[in-house]
Amino acid sequence: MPPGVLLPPAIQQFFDNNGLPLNGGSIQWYLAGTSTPSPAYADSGLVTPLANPVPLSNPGGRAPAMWLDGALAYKEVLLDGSGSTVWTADNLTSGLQAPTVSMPTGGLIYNLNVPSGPIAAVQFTNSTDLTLTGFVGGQPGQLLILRALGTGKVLLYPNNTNSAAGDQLTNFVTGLPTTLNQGAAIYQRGSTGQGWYLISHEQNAWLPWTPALTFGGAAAGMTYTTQAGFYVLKGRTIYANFRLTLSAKGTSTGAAVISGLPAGSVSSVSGDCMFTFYGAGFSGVTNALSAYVSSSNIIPQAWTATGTVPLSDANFTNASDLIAMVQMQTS
Amino acid sequence: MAGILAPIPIPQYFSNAGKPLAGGQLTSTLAGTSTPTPLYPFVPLQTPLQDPVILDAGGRPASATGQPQELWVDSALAYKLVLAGADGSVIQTVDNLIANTPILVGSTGATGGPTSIAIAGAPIIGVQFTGATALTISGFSGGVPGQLLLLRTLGAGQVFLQYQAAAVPASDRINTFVTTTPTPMWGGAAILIHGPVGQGWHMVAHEQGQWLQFTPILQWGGANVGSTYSQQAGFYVIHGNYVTGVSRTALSARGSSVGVATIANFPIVHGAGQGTGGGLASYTTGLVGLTGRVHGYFAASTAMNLTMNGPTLLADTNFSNTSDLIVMFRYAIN
Repeated sequence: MPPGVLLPPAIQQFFDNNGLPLNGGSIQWYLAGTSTPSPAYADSGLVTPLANPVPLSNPGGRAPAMWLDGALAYKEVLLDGSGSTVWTADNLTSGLQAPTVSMPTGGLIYNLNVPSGPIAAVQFTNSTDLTLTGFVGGQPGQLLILRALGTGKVLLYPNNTNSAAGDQLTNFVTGLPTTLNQGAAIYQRGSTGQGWYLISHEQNAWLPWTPALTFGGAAAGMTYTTQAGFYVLKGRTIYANFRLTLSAKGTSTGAAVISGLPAGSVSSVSGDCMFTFYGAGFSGVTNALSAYVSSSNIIPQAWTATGTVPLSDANFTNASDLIAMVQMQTS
Repeated sequence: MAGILAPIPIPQYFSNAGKPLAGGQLTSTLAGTSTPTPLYPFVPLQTPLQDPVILDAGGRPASATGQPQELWVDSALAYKLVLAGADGSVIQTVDNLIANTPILVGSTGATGGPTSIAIAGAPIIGVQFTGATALTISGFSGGVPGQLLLLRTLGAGQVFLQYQAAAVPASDRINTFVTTTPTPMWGGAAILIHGPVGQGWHMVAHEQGQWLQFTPILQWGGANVGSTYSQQAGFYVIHGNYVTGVSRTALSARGSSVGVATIANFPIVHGAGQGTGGGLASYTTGLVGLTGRVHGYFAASTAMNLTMNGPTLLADTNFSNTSDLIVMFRYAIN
């Protein structure tokens, strides 16, 4: 059976201080905190406005059903038959609006307070990076909507014990923070004692990573004119691009490996896939380049008549240039 | 635009004789307890009213200076309210009062299926799935129009959402982004919203989480007689209405089938009218006579033709008993 709710106040009756019905009285509606009239309506569709003030029945002191715009905040004034104010109630809201917290600063926060309610929201306007590990407050089942609007990133770390167990985050991945780079996320608070569970996440702008080429595990004397990578996390999938343009390949020798991916691959295929968009300045490579991912390393390959073979220092020059994409599952 | 009924911001209480309960007392405690918890005159809930709240001459809640006051409560709490006369004699007690916008979260360890899951009707409800093995859901019963339903998989088992399952009433069915395969969640989540009366649940957001496994099969001329593998595995993830993933087929014996080479047994039918998806090999060994990089495109609903150097199709003659092929793929599904 669905949970019950209290009977709504469809019929309201008003009385004076002697307990007599407020015959001839009325109710005046304004926008909250103002003297700007804003009518109540006779219907839930808000099509037919009531007179403002709303006259109470005489006799009886009853008001008709009064429907309000749930998106507005109101001031309500009860008037007696002579037009004198009996009471004033201001800042009346439906309670359905999501209270929004603004977070303008970066830094490290283990426990960010959030308001209770069915839905709450936090807008991040930080211009420097903010690391968050937990949210304090809220209530079971509550939705928490996060939106990053500032130029600083918001890094949401899961299962961090600096936050109380009931305030920690459960993300889709554990190996790297779930990041909002002017993106958004939705968490839902679990049952009493549980923390916040990620339901939806959009990173938005891609994040940087630094690809690093080695030969035989070293990079003596190697320099770059371009050394940049970017990635986006979607669920447990990482899509990453990168470009490496050498200005000097240095003196190290051995198998070529590109490291620096933001997280490791967990696919048991022993090599999530990558392909190259562009390759130039290679030696002894007569066909296309390729690569696969092993753990968090990229193993570049060259195509031959029998398949792919690993690249080594001998295949690189002081002007080698590689643009490529990686797609892999992480944990 | 939908309206809400006007609240009663300042209630008025009367004695059993119908007189305003002047000097009466309103005491607030946590539901089922005698632990005081305050009422507030406005939001945000920062400055509580006196405890108990004393009623003015008209029987209305009043401040310490006698001004009529609104009554606000913390929507996260459940309350017990006690109305008493000026002499403290109890007139009425009401317990287990909660906010009129209930939100709920529950969990189920259900497995198996297809089965319909009963849920409570509420503006927002969450369901955590903790089963250790797979669960297939054909629908959700008991929702109300406009209700948000948030699903989160926390157990080791996968959870699949069937598209428009005929076995359940139309008002319980799930309208997922894809129609030809159940939408998977495995360490993932989804958000559904119940449509108007008579409609079912419409998916709003989905994250599969962990990739699912399938078994790719190398074929030549549509057959694979005598083929054996040292590695044969694929993994995929669904984003919206496309599937992406990786396949590895490492032969230990090629067998005797001949003809055009394909990778078959992809997990979901390639979407008709959705363009031609395909794949690209990132690693191969043990092939023969390649004149270019190995690519693939979908020529059948769940099979990818392998090519090199543009339109040149790979065939059995390009494979050996040790051929090893890793292919990244992506294609649209209906």
